[in-house]
Amino acid sequence: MKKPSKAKVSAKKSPAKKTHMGYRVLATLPDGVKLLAPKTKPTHFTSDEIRQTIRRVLRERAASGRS
Amino acid sequence: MPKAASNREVFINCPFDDQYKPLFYAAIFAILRSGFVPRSALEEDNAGQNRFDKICKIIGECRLGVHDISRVELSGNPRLPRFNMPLELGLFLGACKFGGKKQKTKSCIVFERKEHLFRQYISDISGQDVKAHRGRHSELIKKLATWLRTQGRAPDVPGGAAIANEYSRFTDALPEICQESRLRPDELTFGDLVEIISNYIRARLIPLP
Repeated sequence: MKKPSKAKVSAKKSPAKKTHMGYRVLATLPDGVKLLAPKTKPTHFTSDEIRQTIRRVLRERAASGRS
Repeated sequence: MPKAASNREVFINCPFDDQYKPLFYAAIFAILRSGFVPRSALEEDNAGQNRFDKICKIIGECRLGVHDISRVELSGNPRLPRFNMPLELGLFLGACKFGGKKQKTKSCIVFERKEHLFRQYISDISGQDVKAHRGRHSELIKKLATWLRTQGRAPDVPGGAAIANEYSRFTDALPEICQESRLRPDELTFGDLVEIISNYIRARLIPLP
């Protein structure tokens, strides 16, 4: 008797992290420079918090004519 | 672990006092903006780890080094010179000289305040790449960025003058970033600062749609 074949369970892949020479790439800048992830963690905030804070500050500075 | 030749970690050996901070921040900015990873003895706050062991570990992990020996001067009471920076430069050069294959790929740039001043007190390093920053962050950025561009063999890295200009804008915005984060600038740790600078560079150069 033929055994019922096991249904393949496709493992959900997490999005691949971009790396450059073994380092995690945060972003590729317009001039082609790869901004690499720091080796250290921040103490007083999370990366998400500071990212939002910086965007807010830059928006406000741009709105008030200070680039 | 990256291969020796592709290691992009840069050990920053410099004073950590308030007076030196603009130059320290400038070095971190130039390193990140040039596509490298800054490392410092300040990065780990593990009281259980011997400071010398911690410095040796970081030096061992970094292919590149930026050493500022400009503050070997008499200070305090009694007035004595500060030898931490020359000691760490010696460790770095020793690792390169006597270390294994990976350590032999090390390269460093040495900064002094004035040209040729080092010859009066540490003449044995005459063969090294010693540059003068004259106490100005713009000079340090220009010379460090030029050197990093050579080390990374990356012609797309912007020139030092452009990075110095970007750094000036960053220092204008930093007090506001700290205020929004309810932090005083002097409360920032090395980890905080590196995170702020890398996120600032990303947000400034890649605006949101």
